[in-house]
Parts: sequence; structure tokens; C-alpha cells
Amino acid sequence: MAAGQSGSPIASFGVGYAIAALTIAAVDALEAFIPSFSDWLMDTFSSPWLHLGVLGILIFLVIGFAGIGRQLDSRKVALLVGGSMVVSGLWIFTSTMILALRGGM
Amino acid sequence: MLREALLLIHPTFGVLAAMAALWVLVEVIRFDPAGLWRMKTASLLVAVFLVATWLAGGLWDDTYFDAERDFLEKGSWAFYGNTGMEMKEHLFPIIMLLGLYLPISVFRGNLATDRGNRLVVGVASVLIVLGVLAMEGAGAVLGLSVKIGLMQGGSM
Repeated sequence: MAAGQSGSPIASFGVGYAIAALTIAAVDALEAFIPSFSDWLMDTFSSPWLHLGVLGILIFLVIGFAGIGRQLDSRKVALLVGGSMVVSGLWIFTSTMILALRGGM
Repeated sequence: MLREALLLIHPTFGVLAAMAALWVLVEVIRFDPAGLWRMKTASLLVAVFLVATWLAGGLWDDTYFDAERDFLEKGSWAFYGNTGMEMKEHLFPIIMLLGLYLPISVFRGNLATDRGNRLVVGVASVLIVLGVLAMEGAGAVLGLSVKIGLMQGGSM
């Protein structure tokens, strides 16, 4: 296989990772800014840590096994994985800090 | 006893995961097809340790953190402690998922011939190391915040 080609589970699970990470960040932002949504999640899962991980694993596995984005170039997969991690991390950091500064924790 | 075990086990597993991810990074930088089994072993260890960290930390959070939060709130570092805990709760799943992705990229990638696949493995392992170190830092701030709360507000 030539450099940069993919067509492997690396690509589809990489896409799955990126979508899962961005979804976790989006849910986190919703929790930070919509208290009723956060309360509903707490009532449903009865835990502040379980739901994001379970949601992420489900998205990651479904997209990975479905083979979405399978033909993506592996260099683009590296960029997608790294970029989504950094963007999601900064997003979560920002929403947590805004919530903390508002005294909402 | 379970309290101390969960409290000590989850950062320990986290550090072991970071060390295993660093091992993967070293193997992928100096890639040798004969040493692929080492990379596969280390990538599996990353996934196992990160899931164990998530479960142990989560169980501790569920079972014991409410009592610790009462002490934390009495100290002048309450803001930092609460922020650190929120970061750990919400940021860690992203790191754990990357830990699950790492063995997939190592086992299913064509690392010997495809530099792009090696780049994916390198990026994932670097971000796991940095992410886990950030979580360890947040945990240290949280622990210090509880200690300050205990000193300023009362004792257990």
C-alpha cells in the first residue's frame, strides 16, 4: 500500500472517534448552559461521569463498524483525530470555565 | 479500605496508560517490523488501563466525592477543585476513546509500508500522553483543594 492510502478500519474508527469526541463536547456545552438538560441526564443515568463515556463508545463503535469514511486518506485521518481531540478539549475547557465563573457548579 | 483503593488505583492506572502510550510512541518513531508485537502489547495495555482508570475514577466519584466536596467547599481553593473535577468528568471520556482507538490503529494499520498509518498512531499516542498528564494535574489540584478545605474548614 502506498504512503497516505487507507481504506482500512483505521479511517472509519478515526471518523467515529472524531464524531464521538465532538458530540461529547456538544453534550457537555448543553449541560453547562441548559441546567434542565443536565438535571435530566443526572436523573436518567444517576451519575455525572457514565453517560458521556457510554455515548462516546456507542458512537465510536457504530461509525467504526459501519465503515463510514473508510476511504479517507490516512494523513487526513491523523489530522481529523488530532484536530477533533484538541477542538473538543478546548471546547470542554471553555464551557467548564464559563460555568465555573458563573458559579454554576 | 475501598475508598483508598479506588482513590489510589485510578491515578496509578492513568500513569501506567501514559507510560504504555509513550512506549507506543517510541516504537512508532523508530519503527521496526520485528518489534510490532511490542507495539501491539503496549497499545492493548493503553486501552485496558484507560478503561480501568475511567471505571475506578467514576466509582470513586459516585461513591465518595460528595463527602469530599463538603470539605472542598469550605476552603479557599473550592473554585479550582470544582473546576478540576468537572474537567476530569467531562474531558476524560475523550482520552479514553482515544485509548480504545489506539489498538485498532496498531492492529489493523499497515504500519510497515504506510507512513500515514504510523502518523495516526503517533498522533493518538502523543495526545493520550498529554491528556493523561493533564488529568493527573487536575487530580492533583483537586486533592490539594480538599486538603486546603480540611485545613481551613475542619477535619474528617
